[in-house]
Amino acid sequence: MEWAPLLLSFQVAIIATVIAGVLGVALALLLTQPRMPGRDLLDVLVTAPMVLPPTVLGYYLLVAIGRRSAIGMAFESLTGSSIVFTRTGAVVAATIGALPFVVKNARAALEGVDPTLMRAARTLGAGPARAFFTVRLPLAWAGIVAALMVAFAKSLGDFGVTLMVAGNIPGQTQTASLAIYDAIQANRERDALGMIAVLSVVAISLLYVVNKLTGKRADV
Amino acid sequence: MPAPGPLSASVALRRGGFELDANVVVPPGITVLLGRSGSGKSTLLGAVAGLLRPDRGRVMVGGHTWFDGAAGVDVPVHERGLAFVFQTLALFPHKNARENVEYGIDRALPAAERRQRALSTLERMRVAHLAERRPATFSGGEAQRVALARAFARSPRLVLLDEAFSALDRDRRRALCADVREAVADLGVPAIMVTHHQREAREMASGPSLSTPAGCGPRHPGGGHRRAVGPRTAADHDDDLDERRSGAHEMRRGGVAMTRPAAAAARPWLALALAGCDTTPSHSDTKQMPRAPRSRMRRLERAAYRDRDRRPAGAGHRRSAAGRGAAGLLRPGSARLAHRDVARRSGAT
Repeated sequence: MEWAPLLLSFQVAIIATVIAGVLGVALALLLTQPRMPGRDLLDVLVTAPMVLPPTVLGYYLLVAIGRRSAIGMAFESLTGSSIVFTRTGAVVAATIGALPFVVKNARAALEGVDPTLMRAARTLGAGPARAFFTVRLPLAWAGIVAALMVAFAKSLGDFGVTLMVAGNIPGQTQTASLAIYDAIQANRERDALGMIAVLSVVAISLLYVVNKLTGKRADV
Repeated sequence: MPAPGPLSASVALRRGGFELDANVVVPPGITVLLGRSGSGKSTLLGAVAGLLRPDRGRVMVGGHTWFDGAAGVDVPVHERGLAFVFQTLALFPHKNARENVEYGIDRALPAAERRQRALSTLERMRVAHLAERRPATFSGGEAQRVALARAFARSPRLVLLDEAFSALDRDRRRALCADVREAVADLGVPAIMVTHHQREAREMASGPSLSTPAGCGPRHPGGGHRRAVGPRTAADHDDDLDERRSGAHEMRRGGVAMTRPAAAAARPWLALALAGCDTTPSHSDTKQMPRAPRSRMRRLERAAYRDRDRRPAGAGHRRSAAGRGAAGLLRPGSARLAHRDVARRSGAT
């Protein structure tokens, strides 16, 4: 069995989860502001990757960050390599796929915190930032951790968007799910079984922990 | 340290069909704000605290201007140095009692001192034994005392209590009232206690441990028959209602009228009655139950009142007279019951 695709998958998923986590919680917080202009539009845009076909999403990403796009050219002039068809592309693909899960779950967790507690914090002398970090975030923490776990599981197994944006270059951008596809296509089922087992166990255990976490939240 | 001084607030704000226009001066000591649910009591507290932004007006406490619509002054809530006890208490569930209390204490102080002050305030509110426990394990009364400790520990310039005692039975409430009176007197700052519960208002205003906080104005300005100290009787209570109807000054505009009783300055508390929204046409809360003709409503209200509060037979006529005019007579629970009765009956026909 090959370890390289699995290793790459985990690397990509970890980085993507961190980026999607920070970005997603920030977006979730923005979406909880009742008076934010364009809130509904932002909500739809952030959620869209959940429902768009991966190929369509991949196409948009290629347009947005391809070598001839503004972002792509800026990135290339800064780092010397392009985003697409590299590991960076795989990270972008996984991040975009994971983002809606973070935003949705983190938003629900943040909105689940009794707003009176925030008001109480304000009357006790806490500014908005202190109230957020000492009251709202800790109380939403279990939900946000659950969101990150789902995001990790999701980005670990991304297939379509990764294929479109990062390609399927063995040893370069070939993640575990792509390698499984290749192995099955080439009748090398034995090569695939190890990866299938690892991905299954990881995803299912994560889901179990998530359910524990969110279930505990509901009781409090 | 806060400079103790009266609260003087005149605020106007409009939210949907609800309009509040209130003008109050509250001396140091406890002031009871009595009124029905929906009459604007909590809105007034929110506007004073800065949780709601008044459309216009001015809020001053002890010489500090917190809000001045005309001058564009609006001090953020967290810089006002006030204490607010919410109806739900709003204790932080992820912090123990001591941490809850410490949260509101000036962070410029050394940690050891903040801790010390938190512990001594908890002790003062008779809940020192809860210091290391989290709110989920508190009983209703314990939670209330911790919430009050959290409010008092920060040496506020103003204390606002929003229905903070509703969840307690009578004996516990009495004991708590005494402790709160004492704590507020020690702070020497104005405190507003909001309630829709007449008995609660009376308890807070009476009782053997009633004392005059410093700076509280003349105690017997003409109303010589009134006892300022000591347990109050049912007759006293009915006097209050009469007094409220012939209020010294009444401010009425829009949906809410506030009446300040004539002998307000006579006691370390004053009852402000907010006219119930039920009888005010400009208040159009869509969530309200269907209304009955007014005369029928009154009958039901009177009945509900009678059931709730049994008194010596002699006071009967006064009670029903009061039921007609003054606000804040009903516990909203019974008022709502009455509404529902009406709805059912009119639905059947």
